Amino acid sequence: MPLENEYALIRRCQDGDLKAFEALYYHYETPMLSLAYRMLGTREEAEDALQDAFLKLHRNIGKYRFDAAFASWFYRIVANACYDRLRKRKRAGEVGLDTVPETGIEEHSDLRVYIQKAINDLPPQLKACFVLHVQEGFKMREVAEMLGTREGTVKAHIFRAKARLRDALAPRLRGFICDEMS
Amino acid sequence: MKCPEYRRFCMGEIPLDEFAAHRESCAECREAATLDEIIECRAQQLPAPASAPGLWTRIAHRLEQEQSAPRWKKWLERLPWVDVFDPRRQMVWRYAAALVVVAVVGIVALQVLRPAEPMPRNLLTEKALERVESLEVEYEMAIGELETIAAPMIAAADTELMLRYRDRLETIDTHIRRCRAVLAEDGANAHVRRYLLAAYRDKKETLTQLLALADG
Repeated sequence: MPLENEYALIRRCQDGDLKAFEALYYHYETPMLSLAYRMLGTREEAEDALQDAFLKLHRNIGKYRFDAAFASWFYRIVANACYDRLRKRKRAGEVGLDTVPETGIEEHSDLRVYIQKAINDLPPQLKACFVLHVQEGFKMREVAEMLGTREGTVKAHIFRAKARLRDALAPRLRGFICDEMS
Repeated sequence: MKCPEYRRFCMGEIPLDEFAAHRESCAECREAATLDEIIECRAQQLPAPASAPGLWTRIAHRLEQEQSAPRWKKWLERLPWVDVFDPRRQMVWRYAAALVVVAVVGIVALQVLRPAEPMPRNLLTEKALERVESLEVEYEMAIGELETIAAPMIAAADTELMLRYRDRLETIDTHIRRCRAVLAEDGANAHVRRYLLAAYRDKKETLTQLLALADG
């Protein structure tokens, strides 16, 4: 949902108005937290990434020139904050999360849990492209801009991500298809 | 997957209708596409937290800390190229720092290990220059004394021999003037110093011969 009078709010933020920045925070909290959580897989890390992203936004909002949609600009900051964490995690030798996602596991079917686990286990580049395009609904061109890469690379990453997810989930999905059919 | 068609479709190399027709006849592509549709659909439905209680308080606290930070630190953070804490640029900064260290060490090593440059052959050291200059002074004094005695003879030269001596002395004087002009610019030029000494020696001998001729 677009923010009412976003222009005036951003102008006030650029003038250092913390109340305006708080309003901006509460407007973007849910979608950005969703993106961060989907990319990072844990609430704690998602909140840390979001904090980094909002601090960076505050430092750099003066550079925003209203020449592109503010939401896209901010999504890029959040996506990059998450992507940096994924890469750091990879450098630290942590391939993926050993645990399943934290939020309301008991409420969901096994299949959802396994899909989330399989997404968490994707390498950072594939995961970032998959989450941004498939789960967050960004066009491949937009994902490429956000991650500073080419559209063709994003397409290839998404294809490889899907192939890995298929390999990881095919036995369970085949069972699921049979259950649904019967 | 052995069949390349699904990949080509995903990469945008073939249109949807062409792939749809292929999918009907290829079990492998059909299964891959079906599985992907299910995964995509389920992935979109995965839950995500809607809010982060307490996060705004944390952020506001950090912002207050940042605003009370020293001015130089805030100024440094605002410069995009000095964002040394940006993890995507940390490697660049590390490489840059390593490059600077290598360059500094290299320059210092070159300065320390470089052999002392030999003195150019055409330049005189301070000590040698002093010796040569004192020798020149001695010559000048001796020539001055001889010239004083020989001056009336040169002025009154009327024989062929005396006129030749006078021409020779004028040539030597011209040569001495030229050498002095060069040495006024570059006093340590050993070649010119040698020419000058030779010219002095020549003039002294010529004057001595002239006086001996007059005495004889």
